Order: sequence, then structure tokens, then C-alpha cells
Amino acid sequence: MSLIEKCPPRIIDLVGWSNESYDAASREPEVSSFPDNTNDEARSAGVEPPVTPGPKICLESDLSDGDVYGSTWLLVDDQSLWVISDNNDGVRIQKTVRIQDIDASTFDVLTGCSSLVVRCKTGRQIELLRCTASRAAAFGGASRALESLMKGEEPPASAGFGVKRRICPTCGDPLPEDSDVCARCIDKRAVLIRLLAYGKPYKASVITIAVLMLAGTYGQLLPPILQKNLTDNVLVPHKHAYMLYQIVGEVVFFNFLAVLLSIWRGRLAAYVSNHMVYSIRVSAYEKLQELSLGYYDKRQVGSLMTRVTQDVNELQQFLVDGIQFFLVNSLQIIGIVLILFYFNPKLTLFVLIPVPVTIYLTRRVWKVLWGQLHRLFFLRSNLGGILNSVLSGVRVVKAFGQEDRETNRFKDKAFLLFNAGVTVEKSWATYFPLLGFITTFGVYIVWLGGGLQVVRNITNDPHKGMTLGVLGLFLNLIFMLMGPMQGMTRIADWLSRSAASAERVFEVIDAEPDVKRDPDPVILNHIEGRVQLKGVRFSYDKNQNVLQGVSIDVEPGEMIGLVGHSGAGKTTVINLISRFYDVQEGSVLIDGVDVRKIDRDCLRRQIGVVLQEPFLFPGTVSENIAYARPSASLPDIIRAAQAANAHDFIMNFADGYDTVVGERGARLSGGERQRLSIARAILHDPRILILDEATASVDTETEKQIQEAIGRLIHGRTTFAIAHRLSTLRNASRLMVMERGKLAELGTHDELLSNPQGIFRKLVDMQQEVNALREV
Amino acid sequence: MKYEEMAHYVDEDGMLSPPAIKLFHPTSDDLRVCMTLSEDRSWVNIKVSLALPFTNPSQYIGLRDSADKQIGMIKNIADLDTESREVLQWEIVRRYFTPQVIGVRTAKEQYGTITWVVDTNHGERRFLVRNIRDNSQVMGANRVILTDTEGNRYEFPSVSDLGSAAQTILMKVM
Repeated sequence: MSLIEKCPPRIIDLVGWSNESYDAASREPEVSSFPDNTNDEARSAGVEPPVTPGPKICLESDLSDGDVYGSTWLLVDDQSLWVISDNNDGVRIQKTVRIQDIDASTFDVLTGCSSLVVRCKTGRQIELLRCTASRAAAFGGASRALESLMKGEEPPASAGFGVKRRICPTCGDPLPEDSDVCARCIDKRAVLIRLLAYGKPYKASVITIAVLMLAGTYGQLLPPILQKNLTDNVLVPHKHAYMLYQIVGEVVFFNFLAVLLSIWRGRLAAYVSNHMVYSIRVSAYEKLQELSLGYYDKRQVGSLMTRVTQDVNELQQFLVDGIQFFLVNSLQIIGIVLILFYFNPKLTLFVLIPVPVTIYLTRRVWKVLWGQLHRLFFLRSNLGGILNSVLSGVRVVKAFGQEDRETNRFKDKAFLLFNAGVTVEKSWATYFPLLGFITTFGVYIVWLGGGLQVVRNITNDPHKGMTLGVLGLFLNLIFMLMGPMQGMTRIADWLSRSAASAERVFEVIDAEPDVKRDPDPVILNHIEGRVQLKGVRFSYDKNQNVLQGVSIDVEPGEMIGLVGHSGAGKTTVINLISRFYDVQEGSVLIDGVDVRKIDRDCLRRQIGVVLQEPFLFPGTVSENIAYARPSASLPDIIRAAQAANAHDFIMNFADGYDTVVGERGARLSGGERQRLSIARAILHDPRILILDEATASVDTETEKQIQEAIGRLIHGRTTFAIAHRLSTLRNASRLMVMERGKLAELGTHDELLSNPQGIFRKLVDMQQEVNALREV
Repeated sequence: MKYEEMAHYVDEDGMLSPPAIKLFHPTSDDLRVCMTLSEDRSWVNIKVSLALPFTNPSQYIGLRDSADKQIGMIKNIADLDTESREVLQWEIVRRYFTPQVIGVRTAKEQYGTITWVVDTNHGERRFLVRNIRDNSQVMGANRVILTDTEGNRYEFPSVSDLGSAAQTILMKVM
């Protein structure tokens, strides 16, 4: 990724950059797996990495002077920066600052826009430019790059991450935050072909379905033809009465055959399509399990759930109903039109005249109705939301005497719903009869055109003109044509919606995890527990570094307490040790091996976590304890529960270890959940243990029991513990005090406490003051 | 800032007394906003935050120091002297950027995404709103705020003044 964007020559000319150096800078650098290590290696060898001359930043903002949407460019080389406006008044340099005059660069995220500001060595602050959220990632990177240039360093490669605006390469529209799918530009045909490829294992069934569909559809078209024969050969000439039984028998037979074929087809299609959906759903879920936490950070859980549920449901609807609906209707339309043309081409052309009008009007009516229906659904769910919140909080409503207010609020919303309901019903009552009337125009044309021909054909001779039977056939088929015609007006929308859903699901299936498995991993069957962090830098959103060069060497069996304010980077340290994420600079080593090289299953098997909010899955107590070792025997589970001080309360449950914990363990108290999670960690028997606020939000007695359990758990393991209650870290071998992403202090509890100016000492003093206040 | 230290400068509602406030930039090209209170206390680089940015942007304005601690609140921007008022207004405009849609050129819904081409008080803009239910905030019977796919917000101050295409779409969430 580069911080150089394509810039008009008139702007490059203004600052005197040479085209060669600008073109060279704008080329994408080759991607390497550890991009920023080169400079570190050079420095560790005692050599300052060279700063290459030429453009360093060339970015376009989308706000110009006076916050009007427009173009403003930021151009930076290692000497100066320029802010250049490019609007109707022409190109103009607005600001120029020498890099050596800058003391600091900040990127302020304001409300609705962001601002790139530099602080000069004189203290003066200059706002270079502003941009909307569309360009915030780019200018966040520019700010970090400026900081590096001020120090005489090359901008780190991580400054360029996320710089590019996420736009569709085909149409240029911004892409949704949680997806790379542009609904407008997806290749619907390719997506549908891929979707249908899931039917490959059922090839024989699919062919059978196609044959049944064809046979069933034409089976439905035969009875009107037989009825025509009945009219012309039996009823009108008043002879061949025996044929009456034969033809009626054939009509019944073909109708019944069509029904049977339709049932067979429907049942077979249900099996095949649901199997296809099952495969897609499982593939998507398997990939979600495989993906790293970085993938989840960029996406909302709700959005991912939508893909596995709603989007797949959309596909299910399309595969189960949509494809059949489309094919059956198409076959029916083709068949009907062919029959009509065969019997009377001229009249057929007249009959088809109102069809485009009917299609156009149907689309219009549905568009209006959809809008109204959406509003109705929205208001209905809104009203449900109000009802839910008020009934859930009925104690608060009554305690504050707000019954009347809540009633009025409900009345207002109910009235809106009433109005929306009336609007929809009125539209329904108006449009559909009108639409039905317009649809029947074809029938009137048949009556008029066909009727006149039949009247003229006194002998009802098929060689002399239209017969009564053909007229009846036309009337029957016209009625049969209108339904599929109207249905087909909505198939394009259905197809597009399904293609977009399929693409979103395939996007999950095709996603590549950020944390990749090494193709040739190191197998560490027994981790000793030595953990080293070497110059670790990391950021979640690529804008702000959460860790800025953290280094520590932890001996096997040591307990390290992580201390610091919220957002200091404590959790990030343990996330990197667990390899939930990969470092952007530096490295994390376990037993001297980079975690990126260690076999992931091996690593996870030997790392255990106890979190502040222990997560229990729906199931029994024993299933939850044995979550990491499903093969554990009951005696093992009980031993782990005893060590975690959980056995006694479990045995007090009526159902003992068979007690169902409920959704997320809702039927247990916080302390009980926590001890179950410790039992889970004990049974897992990890070599490296992570305790993230394990004793927060429990009462003193429970905390004592949990502390006892933790004491047993950490024995002989390398442990990293985060705790806001600093007294709980008294037994730690050493404490890491984190401050704004840096390791600010490192030492034993007593060493750090003895420094009156130290951060740890201040934190302890502050906590004692708070405790004293609580006691008052 | 402790309450006792500020007691001299606030009225019975706890608001800073407007005549005591002086807001200014150190120099015309310096971004920082400085403040003095009764010319005996001063702050460099204060931040401004609105208590009611949508419903009452010119009243109840919070002033915060460079460590992001509250110094005090101003009840009404109109009560300040001219220079202070201009400086404060400038800073509010800088900090709060929510374009108001004054006309809709086109509003087209396709596959659950609405493409808007609008005229705003900051110029013409084209933006996309996906899943309008989750990305709209209704602020009354006739006013709505939409968030586009990139996180930018747009205020529609008077929906009834817009064309039928826009109204049909916006009425789904109003």
C-alpha cells in the first residue's frame, strides 16, 4: 500500500516534483510477510536506514476551503509539505510548512469529519486540511507517516495500511464496511453458475427434475387442447357422443398426471435444494471458525450472523422455490404462446398487445406497494420494540409514575401504524382490481376478434376460419398466461437479490484468515513456557498503534502481572501471545520460536484463558468444564472442579454435573461461572495461562475462593494476569506496567512500590484512596 | 477542574458567566482556541463540545481543557462578546460537520442500497445508504439523519420539502 495517489500534473508541477520520482513513488511496493523488520535489523546492526529522496505523501482530501465538498491535496517530501486546493478558481498553494519546523502531527477525529493538524516548534498549531470519513483512514496514515519523516525516518509500511478508499473497482462506488461485494456490479451469471454448481453431486436428480418439469408443464397445457377438440368435434356438431367420455377421461388423466409429476418434482427439488443450502451453510460456518479475530473486528457479529442465516435463507428460498418458479413459468409462457401462434397467429399478436402494458403497470404497482409495506413492517416492529422495552422496564415506569406518558407514546406509534395499515389496504383495494381489469384486456380482444371470426364461420369448419373450440382454447390459455407473466415481472429482482446474497456468502467462504497457518510449522508438543516479546508494534485499525515497541523476556513458570490504565495495551499483549492476531512489527517468541511458525493447534492446545466475563455455552456443567477436552472422564472433571472450588456448589445443584447452565450460563452467578471457567482451564492443563481480570466483579468471599483456585491453577505454568485490583498481583513474579502502548515499568511488586514517582505506585495510592472512600 | 475553584465564575445554574469569558486565537493562523476567565485564569487549546448538537446547537456548550477535563459550560452563544462569539462559532463549525440536504436530485433504491445525489449546504454530494433501517435516525416528524456506507452523516431537515422519490424512501423509516 502506498501513500501516493494519482495526482493531476498541474499539482505536481506546482511543487516542482520530477515526474520520474513521483511515478517511482506511486508504484506499489512488493509485499513481504514481515514488512517493517528491515529498518529494525539495520538499526540493530548499528546502521541508520537511509531515507530515500522523492515524494513521500500525495493524498487527496474530499473537503476544500470552507468545508465545501471538493479537492484539496496534501503533498509531502522529506523537506516540506504543501496543501494545495484544486477547485473552480484553479490550483492554489494554501499552506507550506517545512518538515524541520514541525514538532508533532495529530489526526483529530471530529464529529462528521477529521482534521490533520501539525504543531510547529513555536507551539503554533496549523490545521492542514479536513476530510470526511471517506478519507479518514488515508489521512490517519498520513499523520503517522509525517511523524516518521519528522524523525528523519522512512514512513513505516504500516502507515500505508488501509489508505486506499474501499471502493468498487468496477463502478467506483464505496463498498460496505463489512463486505467487498458491490451489489450493483456483481457478475450475476457467474455467481449463479457457482451457486448451481453445489447441485453437482445430485446430477441425476437434477436431470430428473428438469424432465419432470418439462413433462408436468406440458401436461398442464394438454387439457385445454382436449377441451377444444371436445367443443369442435362433439358439442358443436352434436355427434360422436362416445368421444365425450374419452376426452373427459383424457382431461382428467392429464390433469392428474400433471399433479403427480408436480408432486414428484417438488419433493425431489426440495431434497436437492435443501442439500445444496446445507452444504453452503456448513461451508460458511466452517470458514467463520477458521477466520482470525481480525476478521471479526472489522465486521459486526450481527452482519456475520445475517450471512449465515438471512443470506442463506434467501438462497434457500431461491433454490427451493425461485428456480422452479422461473423455469416452470418460462416453459409455460413459451408453450402457451407457441400453441396460440399455431392456431391463430394474427389473433395471438393482438392478444399480446396489452402484455407490455400489464408488465409495466404491475412493476409500478409493486414498487409503490413495497414502499408502503416496508413502512408498515418498520412501524410494526417499532411498536413491538416499544412494547418490549416498556414491559421489560415496567417497574421503572411504575416507580416514576410514567404510565400516562408511556401510554401516550404507545398511542402515537400505534396511530402511525394505523395510518400506514390503512394506506396499504387502500392501495391494495384500489390497485389490484384495476390491475385485474387491465389484465383481462387480452380476454376482451379474444372475445371481440375471435368472436367475430367464429360468428362468420357458420359451419364451425376449421378450414374456413376460427372455430368455437379454438376460441375457448384462446380464452383458457390467456387466463393461464397472465399469472406467469405477472410473476416473471418480479423474477429479475429476485434473481438480483439472490445473486447479492450468494456473493456475500461466497465472500465469507472465500475469505483468507489474517492469521495464517505456516505451511511448514514447528511442532512443539511440550512447551516449556519461555515467552519473549521483541520490539512488538501492533494496531487494530491501522490508524493508531496500540503497542509501540514492547519487549520483555519471561522465564518458564513466571507469573507476569499486567498493569495499566484502560486502553494501555494489556489485553493486546495477551492477544498477541495467544496469536489471536499477528504482530505488525517485531516478534513474539515461545520457547525461542516465532509464534507465526508454531503449529496453531499445538499452540492453542497449550494456552489456556480465564476471562473476566467467562463464556459458558448452552449445555450441562460437565460439558462446559470439558469444553477444551471433550474426552475427559468424569473423575477428571470432578478433580478439576474441586481444584477450582466449584465442586461444592455444583453438588448443591439438584442436577449436579448434569445441570443445564442456560444461555451463556445465565442460570449461574458471576462467581460460579468464573469458577467453572477456571475448572475448564485446569482440565485443559495449559503450559501458558492467561488470566484476564479473572476476579473482577465478584464479592470478597467469592474472590477469596477464586484466588485459591487460581493459586492452584498457576502452579508450574507461565502465567500472564491482568487485574485492576492491584493487590491481587502481589504474588506475581514481576509486573509489566503498560502506559499508552509502551512498557513503562517492569519489576517485582515491592520494587515498583518503592518508587514514589512510579506509575505503579501512583496507581496503588489512587486505589487505596478509593478503597478508603468506600469504607467511609 | 474542581468545583470550588470555578465557583466565582458560574451563575446559579452552574453556567459560566458570559461577561467573564474571553475566547481568542493566539494568532490569526493558529488553530488553538484560548480562553481567559475574568482575566485571572487562562487556558490554551480548549475544546468545544455541544450538549445538544442536533436539537439546540447554539446553547449549552461545554468547554474542556487540553486534558479533556470540563472547564465549564456556556448557556447561550449569543450572550458572548462579538470576538468570543465568532471564535466559538468558528470552532463549532470546524468540529461539527453534518451537511444538511437542501435538495434531492435523484434517489434510487436498488438491491437494498439507496444511491442519493443531493445538494447540501456544503455542495453537491453523491452517497450510498445501505440498509436504511439501521442507518437512519429520526429526529422528529419531518427530520431524519442518514449514515452512508462510509460513516458520513447527512441531515434531511425537512423531508416534506423534498421530491416524491426521496419522501417515498424516507417515509419507510419515519
